Amino acid sequence: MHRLKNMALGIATEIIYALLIIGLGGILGSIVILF
Amino acid sequence: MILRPQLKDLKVVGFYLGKMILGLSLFMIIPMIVSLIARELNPLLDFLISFLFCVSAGLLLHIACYTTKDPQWSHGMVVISLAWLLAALLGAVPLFLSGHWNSFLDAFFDAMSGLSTTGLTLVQDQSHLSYGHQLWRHLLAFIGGQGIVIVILAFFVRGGSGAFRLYIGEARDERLLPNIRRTAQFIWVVSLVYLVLGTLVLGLAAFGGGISFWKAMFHGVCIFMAAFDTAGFAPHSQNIMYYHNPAFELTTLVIMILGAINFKLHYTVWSGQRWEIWRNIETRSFVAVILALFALVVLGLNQTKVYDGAVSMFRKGFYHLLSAQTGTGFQVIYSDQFVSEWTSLSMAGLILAMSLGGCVCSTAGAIKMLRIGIIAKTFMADVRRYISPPSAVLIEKLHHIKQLILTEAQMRSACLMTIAYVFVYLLGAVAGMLCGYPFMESLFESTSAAGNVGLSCGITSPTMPAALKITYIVLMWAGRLEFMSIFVLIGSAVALMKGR
Repeated sequence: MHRLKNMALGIATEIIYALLIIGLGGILGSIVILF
Repeated sequence: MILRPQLKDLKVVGFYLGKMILGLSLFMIIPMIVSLIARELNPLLDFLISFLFCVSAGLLLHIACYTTKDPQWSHGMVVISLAWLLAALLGAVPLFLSGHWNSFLDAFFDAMSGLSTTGLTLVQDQSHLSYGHQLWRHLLAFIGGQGIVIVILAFFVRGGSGAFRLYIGEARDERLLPNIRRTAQFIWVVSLVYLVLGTLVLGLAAFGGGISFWKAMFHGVCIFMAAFDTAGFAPHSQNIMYYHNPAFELTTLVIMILGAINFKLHYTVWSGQRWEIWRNIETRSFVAVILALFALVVLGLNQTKVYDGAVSMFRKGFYHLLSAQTGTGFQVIYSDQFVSEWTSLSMAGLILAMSLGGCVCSTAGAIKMLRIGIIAKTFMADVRRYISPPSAVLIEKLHHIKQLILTEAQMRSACLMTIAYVFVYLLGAVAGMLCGYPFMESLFESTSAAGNVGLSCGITSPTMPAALKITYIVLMWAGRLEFMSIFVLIGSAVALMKGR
């Protein structure tokens, strides 16, 4: 159970990392276009 | 003096090659089942013929070269480099039999492209390829992404020092667990867990876009394998553009990033050390490089205002940048639009991204982020040394799974490997120019092949010269194995001819 919980939280962490990169890319793109 | 390999050395190589071929043949059962379900008789026969051929060749090698000897370093390297060539040759047989490839060379090109997780393709009438053949192309990418040797280690070889030598030969220099067999099994666990999740999300996104349920799930499986293993194949010739679906694009972006993450980092994060993802030198370098290069791409695209608005810029510019950086090669525009619509600056941004790649011990190719991080640290260490008093003792540290002290050997290795990759990219560009293509396009395509990316600006097509097809096959093979195994193979071939 403990291993499954760690795995689920690990997957969530990795997906948050991926979404963060995508979000930062979106913000940066918008800023560069503005200037 | 060079020592000529003895018969017992050749037997070790033959024995393990036999195991690899047998392992590959088992994977052919999957498209056979799919062909049977889809009631595609001809594709079923293609796979049956190829399966029987592979099993015969594998058993012959296995029996003729039977040995209990563990492979040494040189054996491991030779087995790996030959295994990748043989797997591509044998994997090309069902593709060639389908009649969708002009020649066996074209089918071999696609098989090597799949196995090396590149994604360049020479298929004709791709959208009408049978389910079995579609799945086989993507399965080749999945097998190649895990590493052919991982397949064999997980199921057929006991985990000893010999297994570790095979593992290292495949450009995987990080051991996740003390037992190499369990390392291989963990890599499979990560991939299969994400395969289930990714297929469901992609399948539902495609279903939401109007594709029938089972077809959407089939596309989901194929696209997941191409995204997570950073291969870039797709069931349709228009690649991801076929779906015209922002949810689908967003999902593939996430999967591409997950595929470019180091398997050792997956293991660490899944074991409870979740902060590691924010502290690791590779993941930090990955974010920094992507953002810097995206700024470059946006500035380039802004010169011609080809995409007006942030959303369009993101869906085209950022998507291709991330596709290039992770080594996937998914496209949401036609190949020739890179030349006709993208400026030199934005093309340069993509070429740089393709040349740098994802993390080590992931499914991505190219120079890789750990080396880029080490080179950046080396540069900063040198600057610090110049501005410090001569008596100061400076120690440069880096965080990669644990706190490490940067050594001279690591710095030298990172610099040498980077130089080797740059040399190969340029060599491929020269080959392109010799065939009459302009410099920028040649460099783009050559970097895409050697970096195992798969983005194309239009050079890769069934009509390109055979010499260039062979050059790209060698680039994909060498790029995937990170050169060393191939140098050892060449050295062994020389020793076989000239040794004493």
